[in-house]
Amino acid sequence: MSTAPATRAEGDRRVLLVCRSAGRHALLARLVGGAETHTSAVEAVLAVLRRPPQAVVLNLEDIEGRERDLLAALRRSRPEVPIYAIAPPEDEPLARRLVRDGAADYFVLPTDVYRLPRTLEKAARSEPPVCRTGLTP
Amino acid sequence: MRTSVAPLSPHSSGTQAATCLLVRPAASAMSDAIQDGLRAAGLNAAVVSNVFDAVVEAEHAAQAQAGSPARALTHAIICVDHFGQQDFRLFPLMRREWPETLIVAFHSPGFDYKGRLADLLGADVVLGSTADVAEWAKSLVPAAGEIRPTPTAPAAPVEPPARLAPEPPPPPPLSAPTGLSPAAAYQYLAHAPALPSESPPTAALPAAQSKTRPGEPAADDEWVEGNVIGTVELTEDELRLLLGEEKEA
Repeated sequence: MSTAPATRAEGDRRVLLVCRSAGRHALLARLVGGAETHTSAVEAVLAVLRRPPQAVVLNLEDIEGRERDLLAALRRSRPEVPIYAIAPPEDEPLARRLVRDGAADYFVLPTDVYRLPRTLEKAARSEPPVCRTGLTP
Repeated sequence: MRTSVAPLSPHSSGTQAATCLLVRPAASAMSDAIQDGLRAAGLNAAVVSNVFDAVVEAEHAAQAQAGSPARALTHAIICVDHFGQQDFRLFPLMRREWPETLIVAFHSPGFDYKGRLADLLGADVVLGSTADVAEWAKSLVPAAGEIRPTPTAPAAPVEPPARLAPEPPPPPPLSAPTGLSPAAAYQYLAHAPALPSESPPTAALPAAQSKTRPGEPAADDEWVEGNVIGTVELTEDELRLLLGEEKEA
């Protein structure tokens, strides 16, 4: 199956959101306008592979203990895409560990998450991700 | 994490994209048996330990296929023992994105329900025992080197339990056999047992009569008899009179 070349158009600054909880999604969608939401993590991986977004935001509560595997797969396939984690207070140690494993940052609910839009904005202004045409083997 | 993307066959090249994808946990006896079967069949396989790496590898194979159809992913063999709710999303995704790939799910004996889930979600073959695995691996051997996925042995047919009683003989038909005289036909029908599946709808009967069970004295014999013979509610004498027959001496 052929896929589109993994180059990013000028206006392609979409943020990919992995979130299944309706309430959490309402909050995140308000913070990140126009985010592309995936309720399934495997679907999100495929979407990132085919068209690298500006950033990926993971709602850790919806990943069901597969956070590290997901992060590793995303980092291996698209290392240029920053990955952010949204964590409830009790999962902060896990989020911190994900940052050690390669995540760009994490945001603790309920108040810290309001830093997310500004962080994404700053990331968008910084060096754009490298355009590549293949996958990392 | 991807444990290895090594060609399992010594004849295959390390630079060639995998034609077979094995998703397995680190420790699983059945996974070992599957892997041995793939190796014996000479299939070039990538081994990963989670669904995310499986998607990456499948997409990688799909991209490689664009240059060479021989690199198409022919089989995805997935151990579902350790699968959670999110992991099962892999099946519909693979079915949708790579319909040419044969999806094989396998599970250890204690995880039958996960095998059934995989079956429901799109697995082509579900293997649930080492015997199934051995049979399936044998079916792979002639397929080695082929490009297209070949049909493999389906899951073992469900056999009736040994303790199950033999099936009862089919019930006699409610209608009278052809070739009988009207009197004999009446006798046949009058004494034929009522068939549950062909009994008239109980809703059409008065409540008291609809509760009459076979073998019990009926509250209204005439009514029940009329139902047994269907549309004929005549006594023997009336029937004889209707047919113009003489009463037997």
